[in-house]
Amino acid sequence: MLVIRRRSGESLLIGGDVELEILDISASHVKLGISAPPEVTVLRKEIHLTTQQNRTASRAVPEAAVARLLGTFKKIP
Amino acid sequence: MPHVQTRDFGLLEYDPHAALQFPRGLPGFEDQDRFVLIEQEELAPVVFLQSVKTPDLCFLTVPISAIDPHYEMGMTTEDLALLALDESRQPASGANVLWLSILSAAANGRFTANLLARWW
Repeated sequence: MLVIRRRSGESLLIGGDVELEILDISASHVKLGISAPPEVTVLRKEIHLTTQQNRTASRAVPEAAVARLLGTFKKIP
Repeated sequence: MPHVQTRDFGLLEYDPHAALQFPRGLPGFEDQDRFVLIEQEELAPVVFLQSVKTPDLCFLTVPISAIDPHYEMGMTTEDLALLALDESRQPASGANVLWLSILSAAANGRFTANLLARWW
């Protein structure tokens, strides 16, 4: 992984047409500005992961697996 | 009363006021904006999240309190504003809001629940 130090107001370029600007930095958050062509998808990674998990979750589940699942909940006092 | 064709429970009648609206859909299912919750006593605590538009689309969910009673939600003020909740504090699960986590089954039949993501 490439690691680059940047200050607020500075930016970096990825490829020829994606620009990532550091807009603001606080104790726990960084505000980023992203300029990219419309064909470039920009997604928060957790949304991407949730999309994949939701697609998996939408598949029908065998009844036996559901029965096992219900068993695990009954064990919780 | 309107009816919904469900994946697992046949045709069910539902109260339109109890239907859940997802203005932006769910991640991966952005066109699915209307769901109903189906509970069956013998399947508790699993709650089925059934799409009104698409009979074949149904998620298994559980209240997060059933997985981790001490789980602390970290909602942003934008999330809270979107849901018209008090922006100065985290809402109380079971009182102000119901947190459901979608379960997904791996190939080996084990389930995982995603407690990480928030939408926007």
